[in-house]
Amino acid sequence: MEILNKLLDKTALSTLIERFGKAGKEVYAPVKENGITDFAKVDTIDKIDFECIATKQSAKSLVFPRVEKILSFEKSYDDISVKNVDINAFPEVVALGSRPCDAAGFIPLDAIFSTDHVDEIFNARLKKLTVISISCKKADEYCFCTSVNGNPGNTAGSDILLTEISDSTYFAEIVTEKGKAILDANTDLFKDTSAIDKTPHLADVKQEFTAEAINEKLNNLFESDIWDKQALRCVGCGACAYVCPACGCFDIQDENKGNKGIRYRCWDSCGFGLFTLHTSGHNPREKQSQRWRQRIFHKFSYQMVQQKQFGCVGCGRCSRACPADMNIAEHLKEISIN
Amino acid sequence: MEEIKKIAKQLLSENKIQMVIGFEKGTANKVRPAFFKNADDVEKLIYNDTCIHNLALYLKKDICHHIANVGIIANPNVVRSIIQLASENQVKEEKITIIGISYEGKCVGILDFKAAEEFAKTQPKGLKPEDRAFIEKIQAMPLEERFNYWVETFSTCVKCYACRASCPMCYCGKCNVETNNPQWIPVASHKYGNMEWHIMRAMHLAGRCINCGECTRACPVDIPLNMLSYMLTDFVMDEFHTEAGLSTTYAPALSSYTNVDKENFIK
Repeated sequence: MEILNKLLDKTALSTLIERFGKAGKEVYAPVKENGITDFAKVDTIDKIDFECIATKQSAKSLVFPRVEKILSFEKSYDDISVKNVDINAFPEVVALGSRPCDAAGFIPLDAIFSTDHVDEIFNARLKKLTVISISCKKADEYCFCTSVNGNPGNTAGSDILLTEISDSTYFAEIVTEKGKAILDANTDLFKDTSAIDKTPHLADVKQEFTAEAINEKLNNLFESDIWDKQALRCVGCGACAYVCPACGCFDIQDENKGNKGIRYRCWDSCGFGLFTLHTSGHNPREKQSQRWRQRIFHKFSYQMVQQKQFGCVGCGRCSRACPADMNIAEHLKEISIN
Repeated sequence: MEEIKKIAKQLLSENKIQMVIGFEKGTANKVRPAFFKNADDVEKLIYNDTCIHNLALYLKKDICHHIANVGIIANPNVVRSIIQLASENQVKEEKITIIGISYEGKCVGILDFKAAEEFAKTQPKGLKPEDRAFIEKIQAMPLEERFNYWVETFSTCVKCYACRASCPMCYCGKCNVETNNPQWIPVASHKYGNMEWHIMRAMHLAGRCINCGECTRACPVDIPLNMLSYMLTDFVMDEFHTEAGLSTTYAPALSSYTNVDKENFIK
């Protein structure tokens, strides 16, 4: 659909939150608690941290929780009954105040869960999610969205994108049908406007490379020694994958007690040695450098081949979280000029 | 810093060591672990008060396996870790050259294991007054409240295992959480899965943790899990009068027996 341009008073946000609550929608927004800003359920506007550049963790857990019950089972003497999780019971969720990179992250995640096999649980959650993002007026040294086809005012993945154009007003771009449904239900809050140039109101994120250039370079780099060099200091934890809005790998775990049990889907990371360990004891990615290479290749080569989508939105969370300063943007820049 | 560089360069050029583990400038005003294999590389070596990563971690990684002698820039936490690893037969003295740095950031030169033990005893522990206050606050809580505090605190854990991956004492080839037959610890990072993981880890580190705080520094969601280890260090000191990271002949309190051990728990 064609983007609709509107104006929204900042004060109207609290009315929106109130109305979402009345309509039975759960609102998640960046909330600062114990010094950390992460997405949490809110019922009033004053809890929202609007200044945060990027929450510690991405918004992906709204559609891909770190632990998701997928079914329960029970064994009897000669039978097993399996009960799938009720996807109709998932709540309607509004992500409010997510950043354009958070919103863009849902696109590769959706591609992972909807190419070949359409994952019912993920799609049921995504269908019930409305994303109201706020453009970035600030960036930090870890942000690199402009190098991976994003930008601080990118509308991709958002249903509504708000850009602060004055102390009291947002320029609201209604991007999708879901966004339009919110507009239609709240016409008293949105005012008409012609298109506004957002650029003066956006953070300046310098483009250092292009995802296409990385994709091209990787064709000849599989056997390169850059992976060994880069991965020397990698400690092999899963922090990068777990804070990433686009990482979708998971592990299936059964937990039983007696004859009953629950099957869970849990986040997993290609950085772990266990990730590809075969039952035989053979591990096709036995070294950390091979796992790091997989991370880069998956995001910038394989996903492009399989899903026509890069697996990185340039939010920089992995680099902020890394205990060994494995800065992915720095690494990609090196690859691009290699 | 110049003295550290001088020592590192000399050791490398005389081939007494073949690699130095130290720090280089990272991104966004950060420093990061770096590995220097020749004297020219050492120009990039830096040391300042933000160089707090516990580099002893890398002594057990592949990168050191085929190197005859590895030099390591060692602040008191790294020295304590090496001593502890030595007491657990995980590192050999003839394969490591410790370039000691005091807690004030002063280079104290090359330390053999005996000198390292002496050095470690003179260095204050990394427990800040606010950490002490935090522990006292937790300890003052009634048992149930304390338990609930930790359940709540660990509920945000995502089980990325950065605490384990960054800990020099977590060197097991196969961690207990990777055993699935039987499954001792749930893989899922739900409330109890998280709690069991952190209790298991704390128990395995009781009397072995040298309190460098690396686990908390590495944690992407800022869980103060090192406080649990600090509390266990206090407990081990009170009950067994021993402390990790000070002697290469140390016997960890929970995996050794002496004839003065209390047996009052047998009822």
